[in-house]
Amino acid sequence: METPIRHQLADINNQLKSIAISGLHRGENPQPGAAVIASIRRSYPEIRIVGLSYDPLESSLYSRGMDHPDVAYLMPYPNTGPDALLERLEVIIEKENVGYIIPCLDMEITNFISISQRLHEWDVQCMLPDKRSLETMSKLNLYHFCHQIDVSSPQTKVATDLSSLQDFATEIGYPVYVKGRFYEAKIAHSAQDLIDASKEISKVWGWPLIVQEVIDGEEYNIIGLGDGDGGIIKTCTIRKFQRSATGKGLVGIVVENSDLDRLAQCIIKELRWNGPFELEFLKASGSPYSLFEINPRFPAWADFPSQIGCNLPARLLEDLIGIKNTPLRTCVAGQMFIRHCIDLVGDIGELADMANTGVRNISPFKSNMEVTG
Amino acid sequence: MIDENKVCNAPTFRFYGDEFIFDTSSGMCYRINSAAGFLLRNLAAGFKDEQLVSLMQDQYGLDRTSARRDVELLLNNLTELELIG
Repeated sequence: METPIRHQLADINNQLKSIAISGLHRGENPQPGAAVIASIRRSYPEIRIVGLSYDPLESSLYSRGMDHPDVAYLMPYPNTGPDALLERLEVIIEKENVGYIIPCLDMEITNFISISQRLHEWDVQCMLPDKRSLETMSKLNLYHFCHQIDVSSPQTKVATDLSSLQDFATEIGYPVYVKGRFYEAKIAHSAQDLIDASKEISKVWGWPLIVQEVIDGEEYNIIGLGDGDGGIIKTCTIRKFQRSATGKGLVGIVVENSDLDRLAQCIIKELRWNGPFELEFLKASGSPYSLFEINPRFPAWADFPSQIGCNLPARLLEDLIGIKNTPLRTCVAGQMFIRHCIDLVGDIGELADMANTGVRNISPFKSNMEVTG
Repeated sequence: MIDENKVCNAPTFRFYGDEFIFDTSSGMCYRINSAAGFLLRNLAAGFKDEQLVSLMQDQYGLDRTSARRDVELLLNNLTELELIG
């Protein structure tokens, strides 16, 4: 715990404003918000955290660890647009005295950029990339961007209908990945797989779909914070030591790799990226590192570097508040995380409460079913 | 033949006992036998090809041809794994 900084924070603002964070589910496909909350609590345990939730079943709402919000509000889905977001936030900001927001889901970022001016007028701080940067790194444009800056990237095509999707898959050669523009990816080994995957993904995310070359190799991920002027505040690079069937990192190990550092610097400089990011690379034997995705937010493993001295969410908060930064350590190669699933205890009343009112105060669990002894 | 021009990125190896190494740059780890461990430690210490052959000879009582073949095989494996190159 960085006690001097916490004191400094308390001195600067005796009436600390709350921080709102989204992406609160830690399940099979974990979102980053709970990890960001845990990271911030490691440095600033007294700060009030407001969860922006899309589902009363988001797992961190039931957590008793460091990763739960103090209160959570149900939010309109991102596809309802910026006006609905603003309307809901206006209520929450006033009621909870929110001074800072860290959006943790890809789909939210565009809406937050749209309302950033209004948030600024309300004195709510939010570190966001600009619209140009976000568009440049989107799944739809990433291949073109990489080509422009001479960074290797898997061959990628954007298809607006099934016919063009089939043509592109044939051109790239099976197997290929079929991806939604925001989320979800399926591997297609044949034309029939391609049709099935496209139906499934487009039903949820609509068109266009992305068809991408499959690179069989090791995956490397970089978490970092961009300063908005082309510089990087700090990064931590891992190799995904073990991946789930859907490609999620179950075990990650820190590497010290100057090639990846140079690539990160080049990419972030070109984007002039402002705020948190995750760069995802694949490395096939005998080939260069290939950038296959950029995420405009912290990754779900953000709390790992925080536990080894590189607390990027806390650093982001310090920058938003405008206080002296806690030094960030360089993560040492060989340090590793292992994802550990546990069963949280809840009560249907908690779920009902949030479903009925759209709000839930989160307090330590009390149950008459508790087993002791 | 041993490639005399091979550049070794040996300092990125980290040893855990004689039979486990971690490459800090690639994040890959390997179980190895003790002879490979002996060679890699010496590679990491900066010894080069023919020096490695001599070290192998001394350590394991090999003739020069056998020692050279073992060193060559290991360096080829390391090149294939992109640990040197």
